[in-house]
Amino acid sequence: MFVYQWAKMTYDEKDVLTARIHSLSTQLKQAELETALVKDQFFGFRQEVAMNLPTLLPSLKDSAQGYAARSIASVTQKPGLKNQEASQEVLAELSFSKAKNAFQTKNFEKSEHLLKEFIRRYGFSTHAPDAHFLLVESLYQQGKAEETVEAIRKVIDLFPGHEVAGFSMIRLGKIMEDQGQAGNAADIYKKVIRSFPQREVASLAAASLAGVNF
Amino acid sequence: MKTRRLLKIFLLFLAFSVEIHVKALDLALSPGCTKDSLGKSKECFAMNGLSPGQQKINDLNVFYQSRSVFSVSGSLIKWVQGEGAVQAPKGVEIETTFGSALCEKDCVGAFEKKEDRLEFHALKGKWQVLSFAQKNRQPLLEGSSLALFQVGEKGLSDWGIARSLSSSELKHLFSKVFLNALSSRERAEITTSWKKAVSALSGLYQSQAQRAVASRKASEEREKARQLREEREDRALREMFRRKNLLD
Repeated sequence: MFVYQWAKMTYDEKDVLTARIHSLSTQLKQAELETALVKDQFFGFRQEVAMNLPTLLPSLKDSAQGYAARSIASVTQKPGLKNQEASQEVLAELSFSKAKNAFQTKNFEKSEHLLKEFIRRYGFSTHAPDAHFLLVESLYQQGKAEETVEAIRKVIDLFPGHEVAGFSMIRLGKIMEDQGQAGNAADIYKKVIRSFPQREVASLAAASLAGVNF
Repeated sequence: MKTRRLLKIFLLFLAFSVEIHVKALDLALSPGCTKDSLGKSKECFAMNGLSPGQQKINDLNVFYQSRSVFSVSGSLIKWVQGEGAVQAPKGVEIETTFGSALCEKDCVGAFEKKEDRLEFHALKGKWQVLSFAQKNRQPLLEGSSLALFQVGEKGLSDWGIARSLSSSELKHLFSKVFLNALSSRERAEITTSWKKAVSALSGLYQSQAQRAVASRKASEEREKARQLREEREDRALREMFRRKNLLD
């Protein structure tokens, strides 16, 4: 019996495995503890940096280190809703200026593509009305009459009181003039003059009305 | 008869020793630290396993949930991770990377460190909370809670608004965090001060809510009027647009 007990204790694999599991789980716990401490130390450091950055940033504003400091701030400081909105607006600004450049250099195919992408991604940007209007113009300049009318409809639907809706309606009048519907075009110009208080829109509509050949 | 009684006492002692042994094993310590150094050096951290636990360290009764990481030195607790609580008759300071909480005498408090904030519950005693980078301590009513957030763009960390605990939160603290270890007298004291905090803070919230409702109503009315005006204008424009485009 004694020999059996001795042999069991010495050679039982279950005990060996249990001991190994115990040792491995201790090691795992140790590693988890160390990770938690490093994470906490890093977070503490981040808090320190975030605390000191506001005093440092104004002095670095126009220097070469300014950008680096702002990058650090974007990582260390709490990502507030205001910041996220601001960064979205900056991205929208960049994307819109790219599309505008293509339009200004009369690369209408490219501007159409970029504006459609801008509208898809930043539909709620402050540049959205202008982007829609430039899309109308890009399509018109490429002779895509049907698509232009569809885009104008969208502008009027989305921004009815905005001056871009007025400009788009003037563009609609021009299309009608091109299609020989001078009477309808004149009605549109008159409606624009009555509905849009913006001086630029009204004067353009008046000039267009004066130029209609019945 | 006497032998049986002795045997019973011996068995009880054995069971108690096994329990203590298991609990002691469940704490992993940072390298170079022994069980004895816990409570003496703030660099000796302990991490709990999966089951909640409790340790009497110095004059503090520390309660910790699973995977909690902390160190204790004198009356200072550095809380790194997880949910925990403390009972401190002689006062305590709890330090975290979001801020700290201090109480001088006869204190009971609970706290949870989350990814983005520290939730602190003052249950008994005169607690004061200081968030990271702030200079003035914020006193907390017994029975109320406060959240401390990450440092923001002004270089200061945000405070939440002090709120009273809900009854389910209090129940959770008593049973799950304090592991039903608080005496019934202490539980009654905490419940009484919690009730006081509920009524004090609800008065504050009521006036805040009334102001918010009034301003919301006014802005809703303005918005409704604007929408009606715009709808009228839009309808006229769209009708005209459809007519001219022969879309209908």
